[in-house]
Amino acid sequence: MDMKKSRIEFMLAWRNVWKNKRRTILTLLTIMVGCAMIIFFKALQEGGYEKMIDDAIAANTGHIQIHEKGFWENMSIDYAFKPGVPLLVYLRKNPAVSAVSRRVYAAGLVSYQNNTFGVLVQAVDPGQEKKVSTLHTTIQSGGRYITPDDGKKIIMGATLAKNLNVKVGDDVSLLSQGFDGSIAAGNLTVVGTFKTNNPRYDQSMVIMPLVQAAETFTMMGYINSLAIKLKNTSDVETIRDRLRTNFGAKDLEIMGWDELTPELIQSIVMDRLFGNIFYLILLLITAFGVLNTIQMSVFERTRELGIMMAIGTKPRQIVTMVLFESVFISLLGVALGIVLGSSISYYFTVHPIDYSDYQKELEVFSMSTTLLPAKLTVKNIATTAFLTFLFGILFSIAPARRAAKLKPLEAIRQL
Amino acid sequence: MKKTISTISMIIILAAFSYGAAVELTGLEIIDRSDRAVRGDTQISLVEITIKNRRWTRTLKMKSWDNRVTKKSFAEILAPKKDAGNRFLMISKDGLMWHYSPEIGKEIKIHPSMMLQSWMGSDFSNDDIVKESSIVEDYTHTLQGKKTVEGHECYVVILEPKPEAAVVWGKIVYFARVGDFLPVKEELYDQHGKLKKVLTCYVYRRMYDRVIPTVYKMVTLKKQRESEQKGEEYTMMVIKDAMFNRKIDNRIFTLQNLKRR
Repeated sequence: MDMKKSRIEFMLAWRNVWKNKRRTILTLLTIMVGCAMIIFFKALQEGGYEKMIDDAIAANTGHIQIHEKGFWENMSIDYAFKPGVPLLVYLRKNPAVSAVSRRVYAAGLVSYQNNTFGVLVQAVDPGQEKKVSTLHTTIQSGGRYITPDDGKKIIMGATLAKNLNVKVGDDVSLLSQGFDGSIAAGNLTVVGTFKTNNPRYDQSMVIMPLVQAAETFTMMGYINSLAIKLKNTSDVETIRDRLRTNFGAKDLEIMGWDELTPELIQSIVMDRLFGNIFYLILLLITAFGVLNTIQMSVFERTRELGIMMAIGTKPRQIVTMVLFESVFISLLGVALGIVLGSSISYYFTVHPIDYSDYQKELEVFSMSTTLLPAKLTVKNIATTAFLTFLFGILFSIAPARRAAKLKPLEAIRQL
Repeated sequence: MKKTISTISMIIILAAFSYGAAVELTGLEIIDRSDRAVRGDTQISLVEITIKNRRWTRTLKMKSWDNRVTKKSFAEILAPKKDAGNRFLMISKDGLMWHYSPEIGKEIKIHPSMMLQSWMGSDFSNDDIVKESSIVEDYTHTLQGKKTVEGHECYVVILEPKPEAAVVWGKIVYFARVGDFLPVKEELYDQHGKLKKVLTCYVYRRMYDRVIPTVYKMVTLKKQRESEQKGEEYTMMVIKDAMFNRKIDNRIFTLQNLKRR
């Protein structure tokens, strides 16, 4: 549409919009509320995902892990490597990397009295590990985290301790296999239990000091994993790809958190899909509101439009005029919607919703925090605004065209 | 004349038939004889097991007592020093298995589901070591023909698990020497018909009352491909001494014996 040519339609539309203030305000409200709701729900949703991801990474996974090729699939102590000096120097010097922790993993049996359970032993250097994961913050009262020179002392998941009927201070027996194939066995004292709310860790993980594991499992300087924490989650892809090009060619697998916790990604993808269906329905409701009011305004002005056409207004001009009305209302509605949606979202970013009543349900998603702040993004605002506007205009086309099809003589006679 | 000819031909046919029946054994008979040749009701043996993987080679020495009738077995590791004194007791009738570790100073009960896992990091599974399942009873046997393998003329018998049998393999191709039915090779296939492991037997030696193969080499095929550049991976079991059908004191198969200092 050429603005110069359409100036008259533009003027008419602007005046029409304000002629019936009540109807305009109603339409504005529809668009505003629709737009604001979508922005707000999306912000809540994204905030929830971010928290889920943060929790999963922070508890134990880390942003990036490096193993010998095949380790993650087989989870066997056999897949081990000695991190080369260039790799360690690269990680230490990279400003995006916040901490690195060396780990040893061994599958084994833990036995106490008559109970035996299969476990995954994760051996860590407590000093390094505390900078990478938050597991040390989930130690239950009465226990403590391990220290580097703890020797034959371990901590274990709260559920595992409960299943074994073990209390802090008890000695359990560990039976496993060493890196050299020998039998790795020993009696270990439980000094603490942890509750991460991730069932995988709570049910079957035992943590012991790296120094002791090197001896128990005859590691000969090898480790199974380097867990890396970055300063920003958003840097994961860049750093991972850079590590892959520089060090991944040989026998190493370099995995980002999304590959380490694929089940998390899957649940987010599913949830996002359902979310989008919900937003589409909201958009349609808003659009039908617009359709309804525009239709009504055209219907009410049948006589007026008939006269306009009788004095020489072309059908095209009528269409343009009605569409302009819709553009005005939609633009204004979307603008107000952005303001409203953003302010509500902002409020819930500062005052997160407390879901502590639904803790059990959240545990299913391995979430340990029950405070879920909203997260407002420019992308969210832009797409929502654009889609609301687009739907509003699209749904005005039908009434606009109907207005243009009026026959002047009949229209004038109508009341 | 006509009658004579028909009688003679009849005799020839019958003779050929009965001759065939006497020589052409069924698959089941071959496997049964082969199994009997290398096993007895009881067996006391001293074996050396060498495990070679991409990183290390290590050799274990183990003494074992098996009673196949009561389905009980006991084993003790004698060397290397680090693992010496680890003992295993299996009472498969009750689905029980214990592992005693001198380092822990007590026994740990092992779940039956672990029977299919690798035994001490070798290419043998726990089940391979204690021979809980039976190649005679748990499989159906089809004689496929004869073939020369590793320099021996062998019967080739296809073993397929009976529907109700709780066994690991989907198919076993068994090669047994024509003369004495001693095993030469076993090809172990999974449920999808993929060749997984190959067991080859060497060094046929006299052990008291019988001759048996005394070296068994197990190669896991998937691992083989992965490590092509790094050299062969295998587990080799050498029977140093084996006595069959001697009476074994029942006290061997007790928790007291497992825990003795």
